[in-house]
Amino acid sequence: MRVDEILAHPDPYHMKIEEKNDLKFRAIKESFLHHYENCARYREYSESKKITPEEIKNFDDLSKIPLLPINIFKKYDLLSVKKEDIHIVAKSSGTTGNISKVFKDKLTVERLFKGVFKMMDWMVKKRGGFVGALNPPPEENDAWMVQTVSLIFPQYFDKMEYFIKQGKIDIEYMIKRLLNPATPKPRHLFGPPFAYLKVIEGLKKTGINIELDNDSFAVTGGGWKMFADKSIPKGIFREMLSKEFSIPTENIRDSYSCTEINSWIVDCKHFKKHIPPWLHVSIRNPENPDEEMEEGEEGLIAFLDPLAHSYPAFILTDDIGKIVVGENEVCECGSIGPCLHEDIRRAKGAEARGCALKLQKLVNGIK
Amino acid sequence: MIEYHLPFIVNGRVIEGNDLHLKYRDGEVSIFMPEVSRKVIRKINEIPSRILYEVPSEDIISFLNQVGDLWKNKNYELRKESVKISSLTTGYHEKMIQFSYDMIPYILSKEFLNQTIDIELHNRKFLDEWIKVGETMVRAIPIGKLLHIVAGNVPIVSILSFIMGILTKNVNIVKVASGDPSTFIHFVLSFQEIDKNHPVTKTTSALYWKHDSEAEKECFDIVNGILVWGGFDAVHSARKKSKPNQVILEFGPRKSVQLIGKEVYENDTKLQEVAQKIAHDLSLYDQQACHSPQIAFVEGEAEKLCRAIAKAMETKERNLPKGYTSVDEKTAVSHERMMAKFRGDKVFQPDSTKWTIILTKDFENTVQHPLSRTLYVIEVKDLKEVLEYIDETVMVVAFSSFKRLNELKDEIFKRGVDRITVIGKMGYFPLGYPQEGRRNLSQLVKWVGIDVN
Repeated sequence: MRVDEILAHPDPYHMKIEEKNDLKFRAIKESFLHHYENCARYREYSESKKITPEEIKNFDDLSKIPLLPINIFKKYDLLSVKKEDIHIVAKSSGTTGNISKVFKDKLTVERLFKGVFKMMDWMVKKRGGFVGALNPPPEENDAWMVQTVSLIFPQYFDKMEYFIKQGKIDIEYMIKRLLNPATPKPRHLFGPPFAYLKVIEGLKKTGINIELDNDSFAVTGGGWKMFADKSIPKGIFREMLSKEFSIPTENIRDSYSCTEINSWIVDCKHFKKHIPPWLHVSIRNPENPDEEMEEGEEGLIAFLDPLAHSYPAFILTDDIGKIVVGENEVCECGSIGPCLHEDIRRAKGAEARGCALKLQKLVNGIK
Repeated sequence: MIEYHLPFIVNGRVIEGNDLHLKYRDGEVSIFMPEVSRKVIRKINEIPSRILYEVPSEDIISFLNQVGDLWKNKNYELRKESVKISSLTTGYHEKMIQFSYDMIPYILSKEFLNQTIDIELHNRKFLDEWIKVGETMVRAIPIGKLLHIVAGNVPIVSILSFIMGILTKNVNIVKVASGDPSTFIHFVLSFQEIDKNHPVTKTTSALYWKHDSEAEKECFDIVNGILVWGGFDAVHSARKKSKPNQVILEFGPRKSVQLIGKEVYENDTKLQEVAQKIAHDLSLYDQQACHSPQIAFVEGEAEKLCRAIAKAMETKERNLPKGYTSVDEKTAVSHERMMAKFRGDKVFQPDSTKWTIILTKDFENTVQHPLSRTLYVIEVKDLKEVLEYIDETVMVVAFSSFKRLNELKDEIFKRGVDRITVIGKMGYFPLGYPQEGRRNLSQLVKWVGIDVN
């Protein structure tokens, strides 16, 4: 499969743009054909939009591939393989409403691993070291981000530890672990931004200073979720973390992903979110998602993810963002585009407006 | 970049300031207001809670009536200014704000106010005199200071809430909605033009503060009653912050539905008339009100009606245009349309996200409602089938005719609905309607008695 060719590329983030576009186009076209032929519901949907694989003739035609609204995975079990071939059912960590269920077979998970490894090679340069996760261990939370971290990190780093257990950050243990000379270096941290804030709060109380290594990374992921009212502008947040852990600001990176795709999108040192070369991103008009926005204009983020073998991962998210480095451009960091602007926000649902109905929640909340 | 400055009003005094900055429309519109300190709330607390006890109701009604007369005039400066600002902050088209403000003179008319008291308290004299009831001389005295936490989805809600408080002679603190800070502040500024020293003026405060501010905490400590309008978060938060013995009146959140009988297909004229009424109900306040229909259940084949509604929505867009639609709203509508198309529903829509009619099969599909003038239409064989979907979350049920209404009214009320009406009238609450299933004025007075013997 073409997608496996890109994943096998020794340095995919620096390949030639023409090569990337060619490989990506062929991988996605192949993926579209696979899901069109093997996922009856997706085929019906594509036919209702009068799009068949024959229509996808060149790179620009990728925008014709029918997108599935992300909430589809909250209501339907979409499969392009037999159910018995499913390896993992990935669940979203949504704070409201139903959760998404995404059925991933072995091939999809293997590709996810390969892709995330490539991304991490690109970011940290050197495998190994230690990573402290500021998220709960997998047995305490079945959210896909937590599960992915638990599957991938132990294979990439020499040692991994969880600093959040039973919903609480164990500051003392974290200090002990990070300051132990036997802990492998470099020492990295990963977790949602609000967990970092809690860590800073906790460290302040102890008065202990933690100096990580020059090549340590503190990576955020998962967004602010229900702590949105406490969110801090990214620049200020990076300064805080840089000061707290004595690491360069450029090593404070944010990441973005969702259960429905199989890639991690991480900031480069210039804080531009690099789309891995196998993943296609497109910014859509919120008024009419069939239309692409002009480059640099804000809109809904859509992905065509050829890594997904067991379900069609042609997704329209409800996240709002814009492209800052184009498909045919090279970022100032030296890696190829496209890149998303570092600020991505979730569109507010109707519940934020008017007399939206959340009576069930009201009743539960009071009782 | 558009900027406006709004004052706040404390015990009738106008206070200017720019410490608080509210942003709208992705930062294109800014409203500056003074910050409310604890000191301000303490100043309000200095007023005796029952200071209006001796003020005759007639004086209060006459004062309100004069305010109503000012707002009758579309060219009244404060009204004109408020229409502009309210349109920018609520996102409603100016025509929608005008539509809402046109109701002000009616709800402030002597007839409406007097009848409201008579209906809610049985006799307006209870507010001013001792009335013999059995062996007791009874009077309805104010409960004291009221905090109104109002919503911005229907501009005149702040005025309606205030009317309840002032008719019962309470001292009123209105926390204006961030979505519509303008309407009530401009309304209260009118009091200055009538009489700066009138007891109504001196006992009315219009403020804004951010959640969990010191001023808010202080305010919850000093009031005797809270009227809270809006969604889950506002209601839940007010409940959590309230104290024992404080009266709490909740208004929201609810949804409303329409029940359309097969008789609408009698002829084309009838069908068009029905479609226009449905379109009107759907368009009011861009569907953000509790009385806005979210689902229409249609007896028999519904596609023809959907087409007629779609046509009527085009016309409605001309005379009651949709206001500013944020990226978030567009996203919600687009996603819902895509979901509908994926499951094979018929979707009737213009090129924009101004309105959407979705003919769907399953009630479950209507749960993630994007509002924004979106109507789900579900076919039923008989309107009786709809009863299983009616519960206490439904506020208003509107029928296509009074005949059909009478057939089902009792079964509907048994399921917890507050009001039943006919299509086209969902947004008009008639005199005597017990809002939220209560006689609200009766809850805002303390009924006291003197033994006769």
